[in-house]
Amino acid sequence: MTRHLRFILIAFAVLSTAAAPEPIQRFPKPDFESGYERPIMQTPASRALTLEYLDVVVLIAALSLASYFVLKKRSRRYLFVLMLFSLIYFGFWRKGCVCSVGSVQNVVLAMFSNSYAIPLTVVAFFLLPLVFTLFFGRTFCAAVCPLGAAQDIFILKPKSLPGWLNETLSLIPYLYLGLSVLFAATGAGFLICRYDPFVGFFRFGASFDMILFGAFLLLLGTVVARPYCRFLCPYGVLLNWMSQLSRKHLSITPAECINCRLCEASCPFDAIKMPTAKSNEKKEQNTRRLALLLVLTPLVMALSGWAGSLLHVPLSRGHFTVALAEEIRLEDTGQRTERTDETDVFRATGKSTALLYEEARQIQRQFRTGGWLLGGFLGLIFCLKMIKLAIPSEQSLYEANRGTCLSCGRCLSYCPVGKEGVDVERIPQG
Amino acid sequence: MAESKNDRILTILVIFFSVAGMIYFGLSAVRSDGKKTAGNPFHYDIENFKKDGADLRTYKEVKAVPLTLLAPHAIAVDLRDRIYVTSGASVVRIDAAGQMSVSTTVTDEINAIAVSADGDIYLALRTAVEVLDSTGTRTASWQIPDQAVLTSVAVAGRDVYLADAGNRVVWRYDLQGTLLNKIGERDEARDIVGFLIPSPYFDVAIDPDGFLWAVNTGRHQFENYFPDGALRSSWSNSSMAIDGFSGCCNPAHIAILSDGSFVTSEKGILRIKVHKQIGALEAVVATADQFDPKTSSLEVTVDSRDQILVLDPQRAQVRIFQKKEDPP
Amino acid sequence: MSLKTRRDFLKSGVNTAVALAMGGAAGFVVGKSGKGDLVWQLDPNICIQCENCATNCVLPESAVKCVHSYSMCGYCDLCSGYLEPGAKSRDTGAENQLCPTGAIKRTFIEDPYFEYEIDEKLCIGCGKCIKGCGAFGNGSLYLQVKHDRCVNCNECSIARSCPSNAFRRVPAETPYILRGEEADRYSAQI
Repeated sequence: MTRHLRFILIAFAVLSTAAAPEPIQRFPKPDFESGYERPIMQTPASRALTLEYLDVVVLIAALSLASYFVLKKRSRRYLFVLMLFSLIYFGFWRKGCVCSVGSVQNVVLAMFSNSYAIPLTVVAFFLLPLVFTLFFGRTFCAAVCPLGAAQDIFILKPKSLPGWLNETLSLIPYLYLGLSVLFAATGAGFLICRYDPFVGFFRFGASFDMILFGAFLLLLGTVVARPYCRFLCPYGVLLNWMSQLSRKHLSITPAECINCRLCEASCPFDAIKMPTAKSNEKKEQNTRRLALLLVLTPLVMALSGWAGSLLHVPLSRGHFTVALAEEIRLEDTGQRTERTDETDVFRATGKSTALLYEEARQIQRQFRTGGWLLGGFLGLIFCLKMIKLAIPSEQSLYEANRGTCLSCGRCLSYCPVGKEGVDVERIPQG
Repeated sequence: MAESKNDRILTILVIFFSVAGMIYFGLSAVRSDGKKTAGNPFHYDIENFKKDGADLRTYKEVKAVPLTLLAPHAIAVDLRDRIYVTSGASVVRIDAAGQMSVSTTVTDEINAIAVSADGDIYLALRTAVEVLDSTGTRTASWQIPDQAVLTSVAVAGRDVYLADAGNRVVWRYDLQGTLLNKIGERDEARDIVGFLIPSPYFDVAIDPDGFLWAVNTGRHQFENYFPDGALRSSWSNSSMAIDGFSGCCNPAHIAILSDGSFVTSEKGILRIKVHKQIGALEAVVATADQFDPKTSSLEVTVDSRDQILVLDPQRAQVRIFQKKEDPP
Repeated sequence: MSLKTRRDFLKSGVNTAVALAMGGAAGFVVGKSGKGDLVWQLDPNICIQCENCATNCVLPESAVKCVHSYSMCGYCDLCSGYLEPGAKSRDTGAENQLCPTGAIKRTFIEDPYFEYEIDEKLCIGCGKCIKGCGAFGNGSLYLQVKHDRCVNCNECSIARSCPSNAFRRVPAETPYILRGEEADRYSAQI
């Protein structure tokens, strides 16, 4: 009797939670006279939590070693070996997930969603590289990030890009970051992961388009060093900010720069600040331009914010609910006759379309607010860049650009200055 | 100098080529995002089965009696064509005008209902039988031994037959609740294969001669018994085609018309058909496209004019079907 | 104080401020975090067997496989998850099998019962058998993400293309959504 009662309860539980078609709790069971016993279903466990924690430990170790190699050891060779290790461990072994770049979205989702409990390991993957960068510069990019490593080994004949192009392209990551945050915050999905060009190589499988996109990106990387890191990576934006404020940072020379120009062409990323000629512009002129830019900034921000808010309709189509509501509307108004799986499922649930439309409208409102913020943010970034260009830099020595320098250590060996003084042998004659 | 010029051209070519490739495949990736790949080789369209037999339909729906009950479960009709419907532990009687006349609630959920020629109401609960008179007053009740799960009840003369999916037998009781005998246990000497009941669907009905028919759903077999439990006859037809029964356990419900042919109701792909007493398909009454998605199973019964009453739990209706040529 | 050192001082101040702010942000996020990890799983009660699982996994061989709750199986001879509709005979002939890869093994137990077992190496997760079993049978066959195969992408590519939104993140300690007694046994294990 109790056995049956239990069945009833299970059957009830199964039936009450089920959608169509309802699974029927087998009842009663066949009586096997031959002594047959039902096999047990295999449910292999997911990856152990201890292994996830091990990943964090490896991350900390790799970040520490990278910082040590950059700042103390000053060795490109050690960095390169560590970079290969990271490529194998975080890339091919861990299949590129979860990576710090993508973790931005998890953090944003956790902030905006009440149902998503972000795993601690993901928080660690997000924060640790930022913290290390705040102290030691972008050593994460140098030798820990598997995406960076994958591109780094393809740098064959790096060419310097014109300054204007470099500056323009480096605005893309802000856009990418902004869009990714908007999508993650509204629950529309993880753009960074969806369009990760290299994860397909790590897993030996991805969509055909993304594999080829990655392949062409690597091909581009043979002449334009690390194109993803410099002109796409959204996490790079945060690292750039942290690195500009970092306590310590890679210095090209271990002692005093003697302006020998040897390192000038050593950086494949155009991240060495060169000494600038003394500007002969009048100070007044400069100030006026700066003042104009400062006045224009709020205007630009408002304008781009407005432009961003106009995009909320097409952008919100990236959200499942909005896309579904749109399809339902097309079908209901007879503009489309062919039904999709999505709309079939929705109609089978018996939920009212009014409710769906309301949900979709709410998400669109979120996208409109997000569009304002995103547009304003991009406007601000653009203006800041202009302001930075307007302020004459007073550069007298060769120095790493703290924001864009990836701490790869390539320039180190070019510097003839040793801790004890200048190695005259290494200065070319003539 | 020439070499560096070549170098430059090569660089520009590589940049141009790779940027073009990136843009092409990047856009293509964005466009194809989340879309189903075309031409799925594994597509299995069961929608087609739902239309099976639609062209053979010779019945039409003449009426749908709305019910004010939540999740109606079982249905019966008495000799005066009044409809009895159960829902949870309640039973209601609906007269021809759609007026609800009797409403009674018993102790437990009702699995099946039958009405005797005298107008007494027999309710099969999970492990017990409750008998009510025509006013809804309880006159008798008894428990079923062992691990019973009653799924159907039928009254023939002085006998009450109870289909028990738990013990996989049909119990024969008299009207007062005295156990007379068990029917349908595996017995090779009497050519009884035993009931194979893979899910809680196991129906019994009485034919015009007063003999018991039970559905051996797991074998898609109809079995006809003498009151003492001897097998009188049987037929089966397992097939995915319209003239047979398929799936784990079908037909889920049956009723018997005045000429002895069967009204069968299948779950899975919902359909209602009429089979001759010897098994051949006689008519298609209703096919899956006439029912809402998520409809679980349809209990059927027949009235004195051989109209077929289908209890549609999804729409909470009693849907009445009639031969197309019959007068309304 | 020279310009350089003043700037350095300012920078170090901002650095400390950012470090503190990050600590605060970290505290906020950690407050919203769960203890364990999350993995992807599909809810078989929402799944509509659209066949995307077979083709949309990032892995060359999908991590989604058919599983079998034996406790719910009718052990039927005429198994609608195994046999092609209109199959000429009820046997293991390839032409009678519904599964495109022949991944279901049919074994005679005793009259009238047959056991059906999924050969995971052959199963591609297309859900064809599940459609058959669910439409006509007990629904003992259903799809699950197998966690010895799944690489747990941050954004699951099948989840993205799932028309019924059947995929969701579940705690890594209980990474399956099972049916029948298997569900019971599974929750008892945990």
